[in-house]
Amino acid sequence: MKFSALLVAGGIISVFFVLVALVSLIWTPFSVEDLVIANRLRPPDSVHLLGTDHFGRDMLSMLMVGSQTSISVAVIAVGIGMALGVPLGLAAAANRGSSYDELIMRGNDLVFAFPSLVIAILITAVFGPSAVNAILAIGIFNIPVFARVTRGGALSQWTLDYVLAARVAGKGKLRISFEHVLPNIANLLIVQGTIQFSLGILAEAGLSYVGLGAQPPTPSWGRMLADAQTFIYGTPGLAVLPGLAIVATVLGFNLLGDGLRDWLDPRIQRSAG
Amino acid sequence: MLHYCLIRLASLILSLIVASVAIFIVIEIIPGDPAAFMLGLNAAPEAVAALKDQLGLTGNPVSRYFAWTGGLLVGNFGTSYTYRVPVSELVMARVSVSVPLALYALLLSTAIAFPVGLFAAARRGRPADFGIMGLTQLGIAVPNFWFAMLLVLVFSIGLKWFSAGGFPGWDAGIIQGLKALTLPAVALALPQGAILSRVMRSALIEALSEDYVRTARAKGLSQRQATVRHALRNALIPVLTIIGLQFSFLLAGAIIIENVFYLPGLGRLIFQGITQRDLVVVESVVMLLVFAVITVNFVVDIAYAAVDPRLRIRR
Amino acid sequence: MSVLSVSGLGVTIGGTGILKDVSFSIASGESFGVVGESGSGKSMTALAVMGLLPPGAKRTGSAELGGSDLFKLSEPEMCRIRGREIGMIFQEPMTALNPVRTIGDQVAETLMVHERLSRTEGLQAAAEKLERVGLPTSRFPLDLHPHELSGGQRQRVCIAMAIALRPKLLIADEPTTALDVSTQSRILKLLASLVDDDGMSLMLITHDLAVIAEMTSSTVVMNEGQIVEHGRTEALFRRMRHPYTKKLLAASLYAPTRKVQGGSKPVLQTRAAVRDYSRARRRLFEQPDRVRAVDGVSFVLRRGESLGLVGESGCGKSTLARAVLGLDALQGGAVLVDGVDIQGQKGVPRLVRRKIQAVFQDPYGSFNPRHRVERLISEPFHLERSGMDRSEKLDRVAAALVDVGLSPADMQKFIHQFSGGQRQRIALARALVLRPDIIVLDEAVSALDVSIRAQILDLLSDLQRKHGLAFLFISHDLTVVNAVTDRVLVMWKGRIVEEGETKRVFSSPRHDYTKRLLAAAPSIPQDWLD
Repeated sequence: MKFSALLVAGGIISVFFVLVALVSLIWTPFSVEDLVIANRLRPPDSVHLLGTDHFGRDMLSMLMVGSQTSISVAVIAVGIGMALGVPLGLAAAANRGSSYDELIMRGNDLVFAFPSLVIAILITAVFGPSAVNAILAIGIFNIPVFARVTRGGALSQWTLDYVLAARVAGKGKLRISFEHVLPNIANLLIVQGTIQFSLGILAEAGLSYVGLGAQPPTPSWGRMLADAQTFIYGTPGLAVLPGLAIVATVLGFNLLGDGLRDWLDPRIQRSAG
Repeated sequence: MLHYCLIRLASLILSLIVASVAIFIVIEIIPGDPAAFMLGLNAAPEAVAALKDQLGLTGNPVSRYFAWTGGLLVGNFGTSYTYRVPVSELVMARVSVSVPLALYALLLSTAIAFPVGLFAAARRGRPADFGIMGLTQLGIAVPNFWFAMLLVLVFSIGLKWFSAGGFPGWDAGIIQGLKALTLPAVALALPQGAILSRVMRSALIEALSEDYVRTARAKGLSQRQATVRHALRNALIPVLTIIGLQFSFLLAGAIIIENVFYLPGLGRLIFQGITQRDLVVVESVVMLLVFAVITVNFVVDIAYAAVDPRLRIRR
Repeated sequence: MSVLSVSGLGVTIGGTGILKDVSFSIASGESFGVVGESGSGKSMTALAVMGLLPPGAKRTGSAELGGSDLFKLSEPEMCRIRGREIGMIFQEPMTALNPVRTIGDQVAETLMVHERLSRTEGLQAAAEKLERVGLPTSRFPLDLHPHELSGGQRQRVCIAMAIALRPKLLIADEPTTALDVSTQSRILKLLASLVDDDGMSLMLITHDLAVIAEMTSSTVVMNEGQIVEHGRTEALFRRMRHPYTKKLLAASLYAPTRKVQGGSKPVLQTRAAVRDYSRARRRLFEQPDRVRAVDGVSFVLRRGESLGLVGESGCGKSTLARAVLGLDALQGGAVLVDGVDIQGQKGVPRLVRRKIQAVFQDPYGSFNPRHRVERLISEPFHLERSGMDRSEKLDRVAAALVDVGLSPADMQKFIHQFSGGQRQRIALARALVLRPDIIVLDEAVSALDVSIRAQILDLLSDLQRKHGLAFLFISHDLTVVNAVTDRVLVMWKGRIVEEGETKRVFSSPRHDYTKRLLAAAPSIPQDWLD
């Protein structure tokens, strides 16, 4: 089977950033804990390839470590959304039209009324800001997204005769949901997962930017942008790099998602196979 | 149609009730004693008791909840602990910035998305389509607050066309007010416009493959006529869904963007509330935001029925 | 004088030949039939004439209409031809109309696109046209939306749109395939009378030879993108020169040789079965509407017997099928499988469940596309006693495959590697693998072309003889039920209105509804076949 250009480009970019995050766990050019005020706001040179920030920290190292925050927050938030949303959606579809289905869907609508930023505000107002709050806020917002996508996909599977055949073979709804329905909507969930992943990176950046996410000294791209805003008249370059990092990561995962959708599309698959 | 509206209205009210209970529990029940929370760890018990009294936090939770929501219904949002003024006064001043900003951005993003989506759908599979889709991918990936900073760099610091922030107030004239909101609105609208363009395009392409478009062509309509008269209105159904969802993103986005441009909107108010532990402000403003989102979704549901007759039920 | 004359029409899509050298001409005022199985290119021919081929298709040849070659016209010129000179209606009335616009607007549109009319004038004319097709504004106001009409009524709206400007030629592509027999007969009558009144020509595309026999004066038979035979319809039926035409006719009338069998022991019984549905609530605080889909149905199916269940869509036959399979609970009455009531139990007991299996209509949706055939067929082993080892499983799957005329090697394939007919064989293998007593066949051959259908019917009768199976054969297709069942139940509005020996019911029906149903079914005149 042929991989599309989208899939290849998206895959390369995504893998690149994941690798950067992994490498930064064990090695960065400079330690991001070294504050050398004498070195502050340096332009790029052969020592600091991307210059230094207002505390004299190496920008390249900061960006590398920042990717850890973005990616881990997004991964865990997608995990929370999937772990809770998918079973809810499967259960709603298996009991279509029941009061249980109605309850799940109305609950979904309700959570949709709380944008992740508002959830973060609520949590922060009570518990104070932290990266965990950002994860929770984005994760809670992801639950109805996955529940809805799962339910929609599962409903169309339940109308197919093979589900009837499985029931005639004596299988229960729970077993059919996991044995037949879930594998057949996995494509849908993988694609939605990449979309929510990139939305999660954007949301984490936004939360960190307004101070509701990762707290200093943990480097994060959104935090770096907030700091850079103070110096935007003198050193506009500081505001460019973290932004570009966010755009590239999000673009990479979006392309990967689109590429996966085309690649996994059964209609396209059938004509190729 | 009336029955449909009534059902949606009932669900709107139910959502508001459940949402208000959720907010109330998070703000007033989970922290234990909100008054002690607001005053910090070292507050004197007398001060805490006095604040409790002042904020009306003395009763049992159920009566407090009804006092709070009852107040909201008549426009009494309580008194800010830090500003010592009614929250409703604070909110009114801020709403006049945030809501126009969100609407301005919604208008811009819709104005971008419709022509772009139509154009790309009409040229699907051709280079123009690929080019536009590539650009929208980029638009989706740009964080709005970063885009806002870039706009400031170019249009305020570089070209000096707009001020880098602040809001002169509507008293200074509508033009001045809109001018101050233009860069923030553009920053908000670009990513949403990109998403909406893609939705518009794919909804149109899907509608164009439907049987009724073929029927229209068989009647003698040109491809263009069939698109405008038949596909477009059907494509509006998914587009409306996204517009409804976007309003909540725009409102949330506005909170962040207000920080970039130092706009005196709800976002600034809420962050001040958080840093000063002014739970009265946070509670009421969050409720207001949620109310706005739920109401907009109600309006979208009604708009559905206007577009899609299958939802109108006649007797 | 001919209205349309097509010569040397060829169509390729992406280099693959779809049509080759198709030539025919339709005389003025004539009803012209195009018949063939799916994939024969009959619809493609119509779309090529209309200039509405899918993107990427290329056409050659010519199509002359009113002195000009349609294939040489520009797109704007073609737009003036469509709707004015040639009207067209399609197979699927449920999706052919725009759901968000009123029927009045959609009919008026044909008039307004071609003539300078105001909307008011357009709607006025639309009201006349709708009246002509049997939808008077007194009962069907112009501001109705398509979802408020039944399939037959929607098809009438489509016809009103197509004939609004009195075109010279009306192309009808399988106009009644998606409709019930009695609706089909009314729509065909309407078409015939419109053709007569307006002196318009009709190009009727169908897979159904009986419809061709009733409706058309000349016919072409298509197979694999080519015309294999053409001529006056009656002469064509009487002569049957081409082997393909012979094969098609034989297959459509095919009845496997079978002798009336059936022991006396009842294997499946329902007693006064009642099943209600609740419709979606319309008002907020209203009791939801209850619809009685199955209303006091009792029947007996005996060992080794074939029992037919016929009725039109919405009569409750599928609901009844789901109930006897234990998929939905009844509100009243009983379903007895081998004497055991499966109602009122929490889930059907395994040992009962394995006695009754099913084959469904859709050969594409009946299988999980991710599983291999081995796993698909062994799914019912779930109901078997535990402790069956893998080699025994494989042996039984292989035996089932051989039983339905496939090879044991097919076990390792995926379902998309099989054709529609082969898929129904695999569905049968899955139903057979537990050696059940009863198989419910819910429209099991309805989606198949006639030649494939004939093979499956043969297979069914072989299997029945070999394994002593009882069939509950549910179908809307009277011909098939007549050919393969011993006894038949006629269902109407949730009730069984007539029951009896199939031969007796078809030759001398007693209930009015049965009489109407049989009269509505199109047929080929008996003397044409002698």
